[in-house]
Amino acid sequence: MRKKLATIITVCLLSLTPLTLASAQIDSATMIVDGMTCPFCIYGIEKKLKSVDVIKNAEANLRSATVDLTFKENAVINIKDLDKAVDDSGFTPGEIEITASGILEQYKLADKEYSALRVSGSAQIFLLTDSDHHGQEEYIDPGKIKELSETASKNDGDITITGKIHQHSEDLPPALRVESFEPGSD
Amino acid sequence: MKRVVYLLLALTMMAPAFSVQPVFAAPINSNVALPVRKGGLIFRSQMRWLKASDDPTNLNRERDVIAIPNVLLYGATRDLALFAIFPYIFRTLKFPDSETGRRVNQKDNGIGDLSLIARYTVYANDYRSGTFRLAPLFGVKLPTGDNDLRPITTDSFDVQFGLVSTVTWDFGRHEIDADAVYKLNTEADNFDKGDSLTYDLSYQLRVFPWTLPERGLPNFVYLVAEANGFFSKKNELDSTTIGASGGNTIFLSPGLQYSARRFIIESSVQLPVVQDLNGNQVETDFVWTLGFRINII
Repeated sequence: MRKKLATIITVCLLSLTPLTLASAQIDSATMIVDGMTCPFCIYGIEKKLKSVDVIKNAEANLRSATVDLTFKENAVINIKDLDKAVDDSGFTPGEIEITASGILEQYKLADKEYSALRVSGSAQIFLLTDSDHHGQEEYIDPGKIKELSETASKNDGDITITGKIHQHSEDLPPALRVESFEPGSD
Repeated sequence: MKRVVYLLLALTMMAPAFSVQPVFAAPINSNVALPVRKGGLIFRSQMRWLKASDDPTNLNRERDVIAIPNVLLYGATRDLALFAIFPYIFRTLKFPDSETGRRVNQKDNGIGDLSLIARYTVYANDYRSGTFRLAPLFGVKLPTGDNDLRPITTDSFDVQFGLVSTVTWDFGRHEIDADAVYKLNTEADNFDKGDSLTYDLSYQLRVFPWTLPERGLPNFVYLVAEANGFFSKKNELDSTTIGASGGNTIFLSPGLQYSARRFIIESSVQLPVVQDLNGNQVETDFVWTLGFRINII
């Protein structure tokens, strides 16, 4: 019942939001990699990540044990590909945090609808969540959706969201756990 | 006849500390259990100069060996790394001729025996600031070396097996490596080189940069301190044990290493602190190593 109510509220709110495309994209992405030690070893991680077809550049930061990722235009992220690249380099992949700009929409699969962020200028979609729950169905609080929609409406529907992404089902796009957001930049 | 004489001579002058190590170390003279990227290819080469001139007899025997072990290292999977080691060796022996008493300066050079080694990571615990790994290794030595370089080279097919461990912490500031590798040597051409055990302990300290920058990955400079041990049993020729062969040597080995993404340059000096050799063998003065590694692909 709660989910249905959330969906209804989301649809209502989104219907009030102008759906204009902006020059938004995945602004930044940072992947945690455990086990990094020295430049000579880390070369292999960067090389493997760069070999993933959607990756434009990968640059490690040892102090934070992370790798900054830059994606090609129109990239659609497959988290499993990124994890495999790190795994093949002999290290352990961790969480990926992204900052992405786009528009809010309802993603439909079969008879279900999910609150989602469509990254402008690409086919990338992130299902939105505000919990650590990695279940088959992503859930986001209606109050949070309202906040997101109001923020998006301040900039013609464009919004920038930061949070960690995760993959749960092959059928569904990756999920984005909303940690912070602001009106999208023009 | 000449070959037999050289063999006996070289045997009595054999410093047990000299052997062509697998040299796929992150440390300079020890092994390491850090990963090789799947599909990655690394080339490593060293120049190792061993000088042995401390003769307990009055024959003033000397031996200089410059070994250049070249290593191709391939990441077959995330856990399996394959190594091919093909050394080139220069050797100079100085000794008095047994008949004339004249000083002989015998120089030989050629390719050493090829070794093929597989290392498999059986345990890896990666954490935010470092890693802990265990990796056994297994290898074979093939009789591909030049005959003039006996007994560094042999006609035998030998096997080696061992265990390597690496722990790093504080985001690459500290690294400790430890390994033990046993070489099971077989008899060939009536010669049986004694089995040997190498055992190493290494500590690396990143001295530059002392504090990592917020972003990016600069090149590193490490101070390296190693203890390298080498124990070998006595050799046998025609089923007769050679008294002046085998023994135990332990080196302390300070070194310096510069690590970038694509290459490493390194150097160390191995100084013997324990030389417990059987018979009247010439003792080692030092082993100086200068090397580099390149991430080819």
